[in-house]
Amino acid sequence: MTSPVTEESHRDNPPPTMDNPDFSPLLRELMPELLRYFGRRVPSAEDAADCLGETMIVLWRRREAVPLEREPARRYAYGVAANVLRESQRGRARRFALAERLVAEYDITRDGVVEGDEDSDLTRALGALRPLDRELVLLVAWEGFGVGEAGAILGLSDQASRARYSRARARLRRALASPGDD
Amino acid sequence: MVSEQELDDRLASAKPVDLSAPDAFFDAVLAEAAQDRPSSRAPRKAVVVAVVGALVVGGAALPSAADELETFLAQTGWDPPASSEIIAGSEWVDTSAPDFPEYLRATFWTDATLPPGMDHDALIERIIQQHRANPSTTQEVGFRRFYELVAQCGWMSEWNQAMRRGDDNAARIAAAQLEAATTWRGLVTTDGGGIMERYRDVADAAAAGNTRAFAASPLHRECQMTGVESR
Repeated sequence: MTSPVTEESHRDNPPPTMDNPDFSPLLRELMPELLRYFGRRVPSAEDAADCLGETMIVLWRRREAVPLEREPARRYAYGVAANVLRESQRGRARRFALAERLVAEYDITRDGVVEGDEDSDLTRALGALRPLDRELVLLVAWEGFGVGEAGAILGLSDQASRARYSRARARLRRALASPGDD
Repeated sequence: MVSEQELDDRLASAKPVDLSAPDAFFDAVLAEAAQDRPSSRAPRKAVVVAVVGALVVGGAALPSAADELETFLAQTGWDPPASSEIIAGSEWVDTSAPDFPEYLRATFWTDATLPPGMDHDALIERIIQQHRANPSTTQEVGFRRFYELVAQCGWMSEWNQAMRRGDDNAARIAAAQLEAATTWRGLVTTDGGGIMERYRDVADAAAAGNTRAFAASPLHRECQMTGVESR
């Protein structure tokens, strides 16, 4: 059997809790942008809520490892979110039990309207990229991360992320060229 | 070829409209997440097992409950500053602790699926024995990396054997697993640069049925070091 650490052993250095003035507000502050992140990548509000809930569970479980400064915490949170998204796209079952109820109970809406036609060529070109490369490009283009930051979120070294990013953009630019373009 | 600027403009224009929610929604999600109810985790394992059928599922779930954190003597709680040799967010484990085996058996998780003939419990025991023989303080992602490396080598072997006996179905399953291996987080997060490209190349070769490219992979040598003959 296990040899659990007793309550007493935590007293000198108690882990952060929901009552910790630093941790919980930080997570809470990141939630709207994480919902937007998922909303751009999964088909429904329920799926986005599910991914958000799962991300919060993981962050909560790893709360002792989450940096308490905003930007490092943001990068850490997106790293978790990217993994949750990857599992979601691999067809995992919905795990955050209350996702559907919460979406039904609260008003989860899409801000703004889609203007003009979808850029189907771009969609197709993005779809032809390797998933990791596509996410690298979109973390930069849509979430505003630097290339190195986006790569770190995806578990890539700085050198590897820059090389991948450059190659992915070159592929996109070639794929979007009109016939006869150079 | 379109210009860099045009590509940036088209990417920006393609950004989907944003989801938004009232504050109460986020409060409810956060409060629920903090409870980390194990019951919400059960469906995933069932689905994974259903999808892969007879394949062995290796520790599919994440650590099962928040209260498993910091409950083993093996969990050092050490949190050194980040560096190029340290994987952020992966806890440090004392493998000489008396409860290290229990710690690993209870908390181990991975994205990997093992091929037929490989056994999850036996592989965990192997990792325990290795670290018992050479105790150290190490990051838990290292256990996962080794497990996933062995699993990936096992699928390489599986694909190779399937191709030799002309078993298209088995080769297809193995190729799908080699594709999945390019996202296994133990491997991805420990890639200091360029390693995942090798896994990617093997996955591409398997998907294309390209035995020559497959045989040329430098990963075979790495597999030999794990004791798995992948050629």
